[in-house]
Amino acid sequence: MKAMRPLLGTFVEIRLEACDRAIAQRAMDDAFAAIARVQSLMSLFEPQSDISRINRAAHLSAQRVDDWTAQLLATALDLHERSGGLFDCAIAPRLASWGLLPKGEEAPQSSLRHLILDEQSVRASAPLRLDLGGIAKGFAVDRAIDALSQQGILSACINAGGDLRVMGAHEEAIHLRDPSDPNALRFAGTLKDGACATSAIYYSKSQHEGREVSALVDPRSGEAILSRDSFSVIAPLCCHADGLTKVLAISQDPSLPCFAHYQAQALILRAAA
Amino acid sequence: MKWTPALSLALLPIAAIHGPAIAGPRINLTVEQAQQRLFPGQALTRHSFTLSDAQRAQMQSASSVREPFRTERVWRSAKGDWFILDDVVGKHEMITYALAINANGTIKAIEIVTYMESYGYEVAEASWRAQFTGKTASATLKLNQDIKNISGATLSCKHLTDGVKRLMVMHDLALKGH
Repeated sequence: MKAMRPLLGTFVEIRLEACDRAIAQRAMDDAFAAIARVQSLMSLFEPQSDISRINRAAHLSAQRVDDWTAQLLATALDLHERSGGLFDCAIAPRLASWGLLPKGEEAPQSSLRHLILDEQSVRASAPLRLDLGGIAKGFAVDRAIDALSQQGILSACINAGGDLRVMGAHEEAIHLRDPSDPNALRFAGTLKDGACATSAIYYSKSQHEGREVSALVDPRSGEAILSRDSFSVIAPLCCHADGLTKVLAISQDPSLPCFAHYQAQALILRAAA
Repeated sequence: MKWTPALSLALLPIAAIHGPAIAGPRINLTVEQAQQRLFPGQALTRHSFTLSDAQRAQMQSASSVREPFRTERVWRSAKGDWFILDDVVGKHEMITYALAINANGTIKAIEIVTYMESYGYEVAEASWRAQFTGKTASATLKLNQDIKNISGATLSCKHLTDGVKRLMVMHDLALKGH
């Protein structure tokens, strides 16, 4: 069974195998519901979402968040620490200043290092503005895979606009966009029981005040990453693969120790000059 | 997880693949990448200095490393920490490594920058390298004494340990306090 729905700002496709049609349908519904739940928790556009509340008030008072939000923030903090700060999903003020996100409260020092997570309570030692666009898609795919497993599905593939995870005994062929020609797909290899995510700016780059900007930001300098290359990471969990593509794009170093920590493989496709 | 990279990908003229799946155990960082690993987000400036013959002799006798140290491979951070690049012989090929020394004279970390040998790459493992952290120029820094050996990588371990000892002696003689 195969279905596709618009979610997470992209098209999410779920393919699964089940011998019973009713079970397949229930699993499919649960998986899409899990993705929709992640989307509403992390939304910057809904004022009462967990992330909106953190951005508005976590520096003033502790904010109680959903169990999934806490899990996602814990993963983000772990990535932040293990990458020496290269992964930082608190760059929303920069993206907003380039017109890539709506404007919000001022947070000049916005960084994940100000975030304090205590179980399901979130505080911040300074104003910060999170944008979980760099990891929430992968996290949503993982939750959807969990939902399928709970319904007894053994074999599936979920693809959320290039962030994908496969489950089961089969090997899935992975194709990556050629950064020199984003309409062309290149066969990259086969993947079993794992996830693959890619970051590249071929879809997010735009002009702001005569300067080229992108949705990939180096937290050290605040500058946009403008490399034409594409940055893919293969890892057991999609949230790690997704987050690590940002570490790869910023560092351009596939042998950083944090990739090995997450059992991840990093690959860079170079764009033709 | 099982990932089988396509062989065809490596043949594409547009694509270069990096990563352990294909590169095997080899390590090949740029100096900048090594600096970013050891000093994330910090700017380092090259430190120019010279070594006298007497200082070089002291470095050699303390470490038994004979190759002359190239003094243009030393950088300093704004906080007074040091980044030193050096080569030692592995089994057949040279290993390039970087030593980071805190302003207080203790070892911050070491990083393998280039490792082209097929064996002995266990020296790049974080747990082995972590043995150096916190040591000073007065530490013994000898293999099988205060630095543990790795079976199968003895030569790489020994030469790296000797190399670090030499750089710590050099730091003590010529860099400390600058």
